[in-house]
Amino acid sequence: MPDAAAAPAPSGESAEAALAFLAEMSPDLRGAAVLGPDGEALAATSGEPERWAEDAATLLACADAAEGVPVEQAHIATEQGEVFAIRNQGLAAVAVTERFALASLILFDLRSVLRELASATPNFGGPRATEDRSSD
Amino acid sequence: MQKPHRILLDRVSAYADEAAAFMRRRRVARRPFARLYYPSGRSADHAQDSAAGAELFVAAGRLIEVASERGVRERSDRAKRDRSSGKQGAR
Repeated sequence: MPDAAAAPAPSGESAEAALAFLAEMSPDLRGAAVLGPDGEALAATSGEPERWAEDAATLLACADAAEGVPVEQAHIATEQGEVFAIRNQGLAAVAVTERFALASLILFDLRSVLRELASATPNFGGPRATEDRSSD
Repeated sequence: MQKPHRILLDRVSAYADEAAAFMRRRRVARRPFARLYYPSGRSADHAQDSAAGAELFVAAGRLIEVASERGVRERSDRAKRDRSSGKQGAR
């Protein structure tokens, strides 16, 4: 489950844009999903968002149960690949990467994406809307 | 006496060699691990043979399976294509 400080759920389109941006930013990424405040998959790179949601929920539940405290981030490195999970502002994201991906960069990218999604006007990759300066 | 730029080049090459050796060693020596980070800033490692570690590895294995069903590269390539076609359209 994502963390308790829930933000309003972003739209599926924003989540899709977030994943496309993430895929472009991280060449090591194999797949990823963004989960909403209720743990539902807002977007996923593979065809089965439900499976992503289910498996991500299992991973986060196992991580929380390890010490009985909700985790903020998890990094599991296996022989087959690496898995990252992060919670931020009521949302959660999971990513699967190639082995030896730089953990700090992947976690930074995931956190930025969630922070952007939680903002009122998510904007991925495109130029930021400039402020109205007509009054100048 | 060596020219100053030679000294600089040698030094940069030495750093690059050292970094490459470090990465090589990391690839060979690194073992699977599960690391959890808490909001307090604390982190904890869980061994693969511990109860919590084993569960984490099973859950991670499932996610790796899901991710391998369809590559993410398609999405990235599509985004790049869309962007480049947008640029061409703008010209």
